[in-house]
Amino acid sequence: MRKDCTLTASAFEHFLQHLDAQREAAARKYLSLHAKLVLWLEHRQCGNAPELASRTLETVAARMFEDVLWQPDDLMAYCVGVAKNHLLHYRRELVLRQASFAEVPLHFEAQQAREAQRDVMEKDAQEKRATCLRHCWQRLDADERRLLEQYYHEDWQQQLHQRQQLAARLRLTENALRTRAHRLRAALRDCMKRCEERVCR
Amino acid sequence: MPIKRINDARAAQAAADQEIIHYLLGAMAEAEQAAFETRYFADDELFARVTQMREELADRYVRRQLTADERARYEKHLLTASAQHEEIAFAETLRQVLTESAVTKPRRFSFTLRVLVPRWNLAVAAMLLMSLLGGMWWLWRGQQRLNAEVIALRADQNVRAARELALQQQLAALQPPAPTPVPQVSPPFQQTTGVDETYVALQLSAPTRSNAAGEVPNAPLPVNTHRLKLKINLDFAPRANSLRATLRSADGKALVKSARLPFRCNGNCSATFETNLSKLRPGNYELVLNAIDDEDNKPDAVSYLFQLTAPKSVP
Repeated sequence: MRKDCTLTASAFEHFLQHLDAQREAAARKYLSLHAKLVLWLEHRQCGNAPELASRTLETVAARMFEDVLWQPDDLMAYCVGVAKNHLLHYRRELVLRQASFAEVPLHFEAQQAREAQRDVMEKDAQEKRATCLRHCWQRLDADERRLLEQYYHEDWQQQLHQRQQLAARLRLTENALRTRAHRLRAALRDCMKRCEERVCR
Repeated sequence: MPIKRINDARAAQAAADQEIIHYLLGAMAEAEQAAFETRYFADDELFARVTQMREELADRYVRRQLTADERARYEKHLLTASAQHEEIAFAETLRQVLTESAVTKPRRFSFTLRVLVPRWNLAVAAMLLMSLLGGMWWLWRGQQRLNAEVIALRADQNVRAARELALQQQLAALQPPAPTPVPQVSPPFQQTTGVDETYVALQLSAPTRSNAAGEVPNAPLPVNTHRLKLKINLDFAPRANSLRATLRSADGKALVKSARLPFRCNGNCSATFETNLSKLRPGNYELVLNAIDDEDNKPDAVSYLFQLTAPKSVP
């Protein structure tokens, strides 16, 4: 099925050119297509969605580079078709791997020790995350912090009401408020990830 | 109308959100799901909304805001993806940080309580400040009252002085001329007629600081006299180069001011003051002499009182 998953620079350039003549716009479209494929794959309980989405796009790019005169009628639909094939292949591999693992049963104590170790690691990771997020939280503007504090509430009904009031106060539509809050949330998340990477180094 | 439009927009938004939630929780039929996926592959805005809603579901999951059915579907459908585990972990951490931030902030009600609770130190400070302000006001009022009294007393004093002067003039007019000149008054050093008709001359000796009756040298004003000449015998040696003379009327109004009045000292010191008689009328006058030093200061001041009487008819 996968003849060659190594994407050459020329094939990648050709694919980007197909997406858009402008390089920046082409890069944006590539990333958007990748993100949509990740969602599509995750929706099908794929544990390795980002990797499979990349592989899907590489396959499509390679196929288009093989025959430069060929173009899919509907690129999105074609990508989804390729992703389906990769997902089937991935699942088959997963089943085979799980079967081989099942042949070597873990000793009870070893299994317990592994779980305990995983708990400790998870706790460590949680502490690191919290420290980094606190640091990133302090780097936000006071207005941004206030917006997020008011955007979230423990009670759902109260939260809906509070968001309506907040949108009215900021003279925003509720949709615009949601977009702004999610942008701030995404910025916090990126900051936290970068911080975690620095701490882990 | 705007409220209806807002409500309609909210209803439409809620329906769109519900569709996304159905998709994310795997509650759609296969055909519906495929159609929805085709839509978000073609529509970037819808895809952004789906991404936002996925984050929102994670936030609602950690805050236990999902219904039991939604929660079960979320765990079965979304929590299998490792990316969603990360989303949940982030949502948990964000919730923790938001809670800490809310706890560390002073709450509004605690502020209100702080205002309501009596603060004795503040009360004492306020009382001290009030007392200080009150004391300053009282002192200021007292000063104002004293100033008003001083002004009233000065006015009263001026009225009394004017009355006394008027009485003296009346008394002088009623009494016959004294047979002998008063001791301080020297005889005119020049005749008012004969020698020089243009002068009326008076010789002033000891400075008269009070205007007691009978102590004031006087001279009659002849009809054809144009100038007044006063020879002043100074009973002191001025510590100055020259003198400055000011002629005042009985009410204190300065009538004539001389720039510099020279004086001579041959044993006793004397000076001569001359002025035009045209503005002078019978009455009491005061000549004030100021000694002027090199730096134009006025260290000494002496005043002489004299009287000009009504003109006598010339035979």
